[in-house]
Amino acid sequence: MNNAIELADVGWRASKVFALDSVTIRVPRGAIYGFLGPNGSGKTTTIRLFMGMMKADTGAIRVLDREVPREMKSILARVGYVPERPHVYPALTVAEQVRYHASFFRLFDDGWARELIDRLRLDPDQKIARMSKGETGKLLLLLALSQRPELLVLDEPTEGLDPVARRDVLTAVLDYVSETSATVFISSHLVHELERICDWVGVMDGGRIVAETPMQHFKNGTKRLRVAQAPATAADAPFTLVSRQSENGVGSTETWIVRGWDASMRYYFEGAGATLRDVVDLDLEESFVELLRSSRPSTKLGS
Amino acid sequence: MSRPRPVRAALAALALLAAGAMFGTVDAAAQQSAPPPTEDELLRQIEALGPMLEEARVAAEAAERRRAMEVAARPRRPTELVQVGPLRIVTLPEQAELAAQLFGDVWRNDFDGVAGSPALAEHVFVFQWAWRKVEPLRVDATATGSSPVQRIELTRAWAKTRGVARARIRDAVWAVLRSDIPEDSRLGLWIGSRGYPSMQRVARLVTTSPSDDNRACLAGVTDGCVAALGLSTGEMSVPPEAAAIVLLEAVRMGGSGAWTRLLEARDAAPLDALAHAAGVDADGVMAAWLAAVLAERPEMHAGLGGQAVRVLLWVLALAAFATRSTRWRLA
Amino acid sequence: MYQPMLFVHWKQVRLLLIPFVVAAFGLPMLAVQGLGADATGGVSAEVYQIVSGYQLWLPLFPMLAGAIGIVLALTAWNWDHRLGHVYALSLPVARWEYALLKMGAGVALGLVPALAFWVGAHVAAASVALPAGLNAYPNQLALRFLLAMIMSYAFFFALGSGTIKTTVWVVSAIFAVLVGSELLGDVLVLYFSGLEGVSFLELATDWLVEMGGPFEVFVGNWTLIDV
Repeated sequence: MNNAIELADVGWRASKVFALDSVTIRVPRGAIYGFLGPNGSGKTTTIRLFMGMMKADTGAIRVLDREVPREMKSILARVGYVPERPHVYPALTVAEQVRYHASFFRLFDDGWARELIDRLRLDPDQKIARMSKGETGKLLLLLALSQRPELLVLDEPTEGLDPVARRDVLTAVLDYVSETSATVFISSHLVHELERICDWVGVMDGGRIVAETPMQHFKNGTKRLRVAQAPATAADAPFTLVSRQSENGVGSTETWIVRGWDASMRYYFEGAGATLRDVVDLDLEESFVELLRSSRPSTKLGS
Repeated sequence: MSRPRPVRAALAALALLAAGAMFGTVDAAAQQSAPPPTEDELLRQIEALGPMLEEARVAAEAAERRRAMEVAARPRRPTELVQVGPLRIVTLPEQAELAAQLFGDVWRNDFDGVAGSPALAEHVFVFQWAWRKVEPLRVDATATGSSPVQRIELTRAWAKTRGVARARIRDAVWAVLRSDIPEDSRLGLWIGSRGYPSMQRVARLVTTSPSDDNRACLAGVTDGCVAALGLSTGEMSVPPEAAAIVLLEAVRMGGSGAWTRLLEARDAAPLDALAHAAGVDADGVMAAWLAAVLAERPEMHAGLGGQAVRVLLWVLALAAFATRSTRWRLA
Repeated sequence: MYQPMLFVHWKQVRLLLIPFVVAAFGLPMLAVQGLGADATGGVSAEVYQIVSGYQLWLPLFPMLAGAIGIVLALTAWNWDHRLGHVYALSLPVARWEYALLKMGAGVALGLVPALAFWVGAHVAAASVALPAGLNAYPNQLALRFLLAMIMSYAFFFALGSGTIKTTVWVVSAIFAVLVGSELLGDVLVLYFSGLEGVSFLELATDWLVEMGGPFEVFVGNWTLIDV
């Protein structure tokens, strides 16, 4: 098997309002997988499901070729986890917390932990309760990395961190990945942050996966087109029309958001009697917004 | 059935004590200030009580007659007469076996060796153990004659009250035995009219009593025990109920005919009567009594080993409860 | 794993444990103050008063043992509850193993005040010149103290291991049994006359504190000095 994480048709219901619906995710081994989604979309819930902290109602989950939750103990020994909220004991010092954490992991690298303490500029004698948010975030990452995990799961690791701390965290992650070829699963709603480091992206919205694709494909395949004398329908188009909108609300010039665009597809407009005036690349954030907009038929983003 | 709550009982006791102390103080103060009454005044006060006492006696007799009439008016239920040693027990047929067992336990454990008691031969014990309020049994005179009756009536059937049942039987049997000894005899005056002694309580009090006689007795000096039991000076420094223990020990030692010998010597000096019943000298009686008392010294931490095992079992059960899977606790 | 768990629990509870250790050591000695023989070897007070006066202190021993157990149990789970159990669930250790390690850590910490109590009981017993007939039972008393503390700890540890909802259910059930048992008896006796005189509340409380119930050790004999 080539996937570090596999969720197959996983369902989970919390209430009438919120549920995960047929979630299917495949995270290739060695990938840096960015898990995108707005707040409240179910990202943390999904992570908790494959981390074995919650039990799925339906579907199957495998992590590192082991079944969740039956083989959870062996899975967790190989997974480094940085949760959304700090879960370390506030009355301990950094060194004490490291020692406590190390006692549970056979492969814990004490030397590497000491090195990370220096690199991340943490004070080993400082009490965790007195640390800033950034320092706590770095400590959590330190603990996870020192385990030498095969899979690193980061749930909003840079949330609330200043730019310096954020950079330190992401740099440490990338350095670890380059050394060990570990798989990284990083969830965030900060799209621009993931754009730089991830090679796979999964997008979740409203408890559903709306896209899962290589990052390059996601970024490059989405374009904004300005089309004059736009055809009434685009059913036979070789690309996927995500949305269309008249410019200024009048006239026949429209703005189209399309996916799967290729330069050779200009011929389509010539054949339809339309004129393609402009093709604009969308960055990841714009692609993400347009994707969410298209997957929510009853809502209007940015209005 | 509800028993008084300890707090309520304690508060009531405290209130009574306070009231008693208050009235006692007031009364003592009043008495101290008033001159002592003359003999004539005392006689007049006693005479004034006479009518009141007579009224009370008449009322008590009337109540007893009413009760007897109520009992007589009830439909007669079938009863069974059970014999345990010299004890005659009237009970319901379905409780005959239970009565025999309980009375047998008490007779063997507590009155072993007591034989030839005229009072026991004369009395009948009526035993009833009911789930709810007891309706007193009518004793069949054709089977028991006009024997005096000692009733043992229990109203709660639960395993642990078998001990209570035995205690009640013990008290009843002792009360009857005690009636063999005239109250105005030397032996009767010495032994008093108390209930069956609590061996553990006597052992505790004997051990902790501060009198020199008692300390000497505990050290094995016979004269000390004689003095402590009031068998020489007449003043006891041990609990009065200890006398009953001495008496029963002497009878136990004396074997066959001991009770009869004891009754024969009831007007002799109590120590002589005991020795005569036991068939040994005073030293022997005292030594036997002391040994019996010290043997009943309560073991302060009895059962601690068993408790430790039970605690361990509970801890294991609670540990199992604590370790049940909580893997899905976040939702 | 056990040692770091013990350390973490110690870190949480040490400030509370120190006064308990002092109390456990000092209570037996406070209880026997002023008792015993005078300088001439005679009995300075009624011997019986030695025993009865000491009785006033007896309820404090099980209370202290129970309090230590409760504090240890609450601090065992305190941080996990506050952090939502996420850390514990992310560790590669089975939940039952985690709970048992935690429980063992608490028991080990409880040995400290228990040991202090044992020493205090011995010192107290040695400080009193006992007249003939009275004995001191420091070992038995210390064992009872340890058992009561462990029982209290285990009970509240088990309660704390569950969710708030479980705790509410358990406490409500106990409350319902105690309060409702008398009502139940009043209703049942209407249909089963043989139950008249039987008190379910009395049965329940009897079982709890006697007949092998969980709190039997608390109502036992807590005497240090007696016959």
